[in-house]
Amino acid sequence: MKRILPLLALVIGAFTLASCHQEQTDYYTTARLTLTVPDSISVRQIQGTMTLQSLNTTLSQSTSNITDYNFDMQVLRGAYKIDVVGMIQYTTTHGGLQTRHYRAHSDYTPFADMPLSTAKLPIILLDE
Amino acid sequence: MNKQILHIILLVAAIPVMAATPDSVLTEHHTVWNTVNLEAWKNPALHGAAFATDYSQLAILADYQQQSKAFVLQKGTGHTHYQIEADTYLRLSNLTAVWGKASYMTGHNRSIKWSSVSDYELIEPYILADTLGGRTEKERYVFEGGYATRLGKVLLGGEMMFRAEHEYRTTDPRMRAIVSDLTLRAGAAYETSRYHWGAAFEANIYKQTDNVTFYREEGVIPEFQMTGLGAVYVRFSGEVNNLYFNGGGTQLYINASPLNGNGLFGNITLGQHRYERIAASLNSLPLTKLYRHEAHLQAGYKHRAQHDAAIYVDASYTQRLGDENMVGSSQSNNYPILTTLTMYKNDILNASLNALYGSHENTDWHVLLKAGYEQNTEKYVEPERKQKYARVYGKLGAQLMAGIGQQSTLTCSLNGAYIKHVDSELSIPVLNTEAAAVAMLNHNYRYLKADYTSVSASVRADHTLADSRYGIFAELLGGATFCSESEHELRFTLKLGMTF
Repeated sequence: MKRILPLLALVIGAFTLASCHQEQTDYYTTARLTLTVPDSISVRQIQGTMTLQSLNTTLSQSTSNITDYNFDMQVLRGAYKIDVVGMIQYTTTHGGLQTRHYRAHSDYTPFADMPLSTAKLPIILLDE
Repeated sequence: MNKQILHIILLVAAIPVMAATPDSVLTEHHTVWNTVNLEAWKNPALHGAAFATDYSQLAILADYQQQSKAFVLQKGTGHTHYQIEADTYLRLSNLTAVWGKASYMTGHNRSIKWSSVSDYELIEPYILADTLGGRTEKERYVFEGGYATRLGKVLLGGEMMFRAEHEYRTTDPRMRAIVSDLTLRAGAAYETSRYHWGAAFEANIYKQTDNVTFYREEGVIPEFQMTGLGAVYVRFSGEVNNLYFNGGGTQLYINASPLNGNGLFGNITLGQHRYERIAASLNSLPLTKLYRHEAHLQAGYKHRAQHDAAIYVDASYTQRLGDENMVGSSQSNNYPILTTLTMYKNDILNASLNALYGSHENTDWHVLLKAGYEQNTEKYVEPERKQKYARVYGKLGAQLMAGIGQQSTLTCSLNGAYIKHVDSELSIPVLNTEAAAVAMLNHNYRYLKADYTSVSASVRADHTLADSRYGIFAELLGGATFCSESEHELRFTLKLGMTF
């Protein structure tokens, strides 16, 4: 009995260790989307709303916090559809001040890296 | 009516008085006392020492079960199954025993919804499902065989179990699932002065191919890739109807079994299994993987003398974890996996205290009492979903085996059980869930938090043919379960066969 119990504990311990599944719990990442603007304009101010839709769950999340062309949002790691709409005020090469709507879109962008996952999207200036 | 019931009770009560000694082989193999030893006998080395006599049985059976409303939509409202089976246990010598089983079952399951797979309980929640469902046809083949021998103080044994199953539907949505399930088990036990100390190892390989097709001109309905508690893997739902499940696992058994059957006993089982869902039509893209870890403990005291008595605890804990693959954009039909996240978690706890008391002198009778607690918690991480229920249950059973004349044995069983719901919770993000899935969850939850009362009775008559080792038998089982949601379930089984 004295010899059997340590052996029993060893066998059970070894089996438990060998069979345990490591949970993958790094669920969230900071998704950073950087908007790229055409070289021909000098931006004075930019505002907008970014909407991320998960391709796996179809859930959508939005943010309007934009800092230096960057949107940051805490999201579940995965693949997303991106929609950005907003307004931009800029000076042209001729020195004129203009305010226009813009949009940016991507059907598929992965945000899976940890702890920060980055992507870039060019903006499209819309007709006035 | 009351007089008739009184007559039945008097008749049953009078059986021990007028009865002769029942067939000793039948009592050895069919007594309810064997339930105390079933866990230990999963070790084939100990199963080889389970019986002192040979017993073989060939039987045909019909099994009918019908619920007035499905308690679990995925399991349907009931079934009608027909089966032919052969079962044998033979002692080749004092040292060696072999056993085996072969069966073929055919029949159908009625009104299954939200499941287009076989073995729902094994692989849920990672299933393919639709809202329409319907009746499925089913056939199953089972082959099992085992061998055990003794080398001095060491007992050795091995066994193999194989199951092949085919389930299909002949109207849209035409699901077809083919299952093959192979289990190999090897065990050993060492005999000391008072105990058999045993250990066994089991390996399992599981595969299911599953597809759904539509032939009718009315069109198709979407097949959902379910991911737990009504969540759907939207991106691969709709037309990804061709899947396969690869699975398997290992199990470890540890046993302490008293040599003469009297004393403290204990059985520990540890297991791990995994089942991967793979989309065959997407270049074998793995979508999800379900991990199941389980631990089971049975420990207590048993004593067989003029009277039999056993008291033991039976506790099991099962943890099921579901990993979802977050899949990237395809390039040449090759999908990269961005990351894997454990999105589904399920903890199941079940513990009971069991007592068995009776006698095997002259008439063999036993009374079984069981009281237990069950808790099941399911969680889905994002968007957060949760379902929980807890129950207490009690069961009272009795079995009587009595000889009628010199050549017949009558076996009667009566069982009653009560399940009382004590706690439950369902939390789902209704706006982010398919409306039909919300209705499905609400339906199943209604029956999860219900109370149940069930009663069942069975009678088996064995008759040994004169001057022969052959016998014939007939067994009838009837049962009813009443749910506090004003629904019920009926079950009847008729079994006819011969023993030798």
